[in-house]
Amino acid sequence: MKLEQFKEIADENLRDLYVDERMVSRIHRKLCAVPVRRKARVPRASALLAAACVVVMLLSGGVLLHGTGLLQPAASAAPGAAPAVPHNSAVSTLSSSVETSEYIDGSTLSYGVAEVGSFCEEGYAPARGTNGLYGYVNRDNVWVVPAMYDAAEDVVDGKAAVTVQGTVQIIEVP
Amino acid sequence: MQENGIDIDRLVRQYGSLVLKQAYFYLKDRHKAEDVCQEVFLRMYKKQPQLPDEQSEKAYLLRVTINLCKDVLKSAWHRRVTPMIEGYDAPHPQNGPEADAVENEEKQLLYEAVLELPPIYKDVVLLFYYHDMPTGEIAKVLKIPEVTVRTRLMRARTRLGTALKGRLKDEA
Repeated sequence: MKLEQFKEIADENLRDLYVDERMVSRIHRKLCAVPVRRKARVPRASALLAAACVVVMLLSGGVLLHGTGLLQPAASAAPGAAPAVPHNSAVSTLSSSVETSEYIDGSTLSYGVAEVGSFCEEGYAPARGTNGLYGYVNRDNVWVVPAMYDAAEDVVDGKAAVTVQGTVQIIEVP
Repeated sequence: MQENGIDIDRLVRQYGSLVLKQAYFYLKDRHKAEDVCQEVFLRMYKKQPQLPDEQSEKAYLLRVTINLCKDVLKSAWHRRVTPMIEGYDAPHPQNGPEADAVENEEKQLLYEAVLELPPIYKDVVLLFYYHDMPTGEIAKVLKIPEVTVRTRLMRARTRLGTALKGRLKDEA
């Protein structure tokens, strides 16, 4: 008996062991549920520098650059008027541009929850996203299955029927 | 399902069964092997490694599979639970002549002897004889010198020879 025959023997023994469609969809579902943290194209150093500039501007009220004509805060440009860009929104816009979350299928977390169905015992409910597709949320309205289905039924015993391109599939939630 | 140049769908379909079988060789349990197989592709997706060609993809997947299997084998749960022998893993009955039956039995003994090798020998035997990898490639996958690979292969052959002789004597 030669060891070179091992491959043939092993394949014969494990002929029922292969990755079928059930396994592929199981892996696919797991991957879809993993949000990928992506670094934005804005370099971190320049983002920090920009944030520092905003803070300096806000704290000084435009004193440092006032008079140079280079930068005029909205408040000082028009006394008594509301600032053109609120302080909070300027900061939050900056921080949200540093990182964005994205699912493997390309759908981003930028969509919200438009409508929520009935919750099951496990605490999950089908929900329609603002992107017009359906997924599943938990009681905190956080997506546990991203909104990527054409239709989504209620969750029963951790499983739910969803429709993708006219095909009904059973998925595990979450 | 393509992300940053890695087409996970293609990888699962191309190497899924290979990864699954490799995991089974270590864990001898279909369900555990499926869990490891799933975890391998999950890690690949999270890690997003730069793999220039198919050989690198296969080597990367096998390395992750081997490492994950060893983690499972070291886990407290695995050490306390004995896996059940699965039905399809049993030798298949043959209706041929007696000589064929003896040969089939010998093949089965060889298969079982390889699966019972200590992990360091099983690594090299599986990569060399099952995945047809040259010793240089095995050295890269296992991150050991090529000389060590050859030494382990030689020792594995000696061990297998001794084990098979002993078993055949027992059978007789």
